[in-house]
Amino acid sequence: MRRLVLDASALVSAACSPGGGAILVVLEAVRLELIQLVVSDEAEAEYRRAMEYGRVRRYARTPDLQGFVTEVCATAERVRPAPVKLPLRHAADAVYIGIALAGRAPVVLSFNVRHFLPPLNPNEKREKHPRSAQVAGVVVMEPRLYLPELRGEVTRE
Amino acid sequence: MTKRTEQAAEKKAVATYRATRATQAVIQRAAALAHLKPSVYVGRVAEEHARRDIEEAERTAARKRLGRLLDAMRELPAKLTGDEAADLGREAVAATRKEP
Repeated sequence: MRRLVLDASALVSAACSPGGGAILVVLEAVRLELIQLVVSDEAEAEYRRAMEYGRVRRYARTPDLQGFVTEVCATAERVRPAPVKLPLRHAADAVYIGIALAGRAPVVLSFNVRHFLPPLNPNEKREKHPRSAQVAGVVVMEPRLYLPELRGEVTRE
Repeated sequence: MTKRTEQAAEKKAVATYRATRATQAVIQRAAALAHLKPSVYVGRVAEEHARRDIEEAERTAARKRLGRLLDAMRELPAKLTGDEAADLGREAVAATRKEP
């Protein structure tokens, strides 16, 4: 079973995505035991905070967003994040890399891939929304890039 | 005398698992490697295994509940496109995150 970490942006998007969205396909794969999610208490707390955001409540496809987080986390293996000090653009995202390292998950799915890159140097220009990055041996990518990998798994099954 | 009694008790603790002599030997060997008494070793391993089994059963039940939730979500029309949902994910995290 493939092991995977979702960040809060990915989970919020799952709650609001139309059918067939890549992140929903990933959750269907969790349901089919093709993917084992890995979480930590810190990640769950961030999922819950993000679900309380007004616009998320407005556009979500389920009225019970906290219940949604509860069920997603209940399917996951809970770990204590590995202590990592990484020069990331958003230090708070290092926890997801720590979870991936502690839970032996090679991939983190996120819509905030740029947060996992090193801080910008003066006058440095970067793509606004890079689709993937590699941090401490963990690949951070947008959900749609994960689908070909998942398709390979289904074909092998 | 005490040592012999203790050895007998240890042997009995492993034997209660109704294992064959070969299995008992394996347990005793593994316990020696872990520097534990065989009775402590089998107790610890059994507990770990039981915990794992319970966790796995709970995860299986949660997968079914998540599946039902995903099915119910499919019944409600989406108000956003995939790209808009991704943008909302970014926005919600930025708005609710407390930077250290």
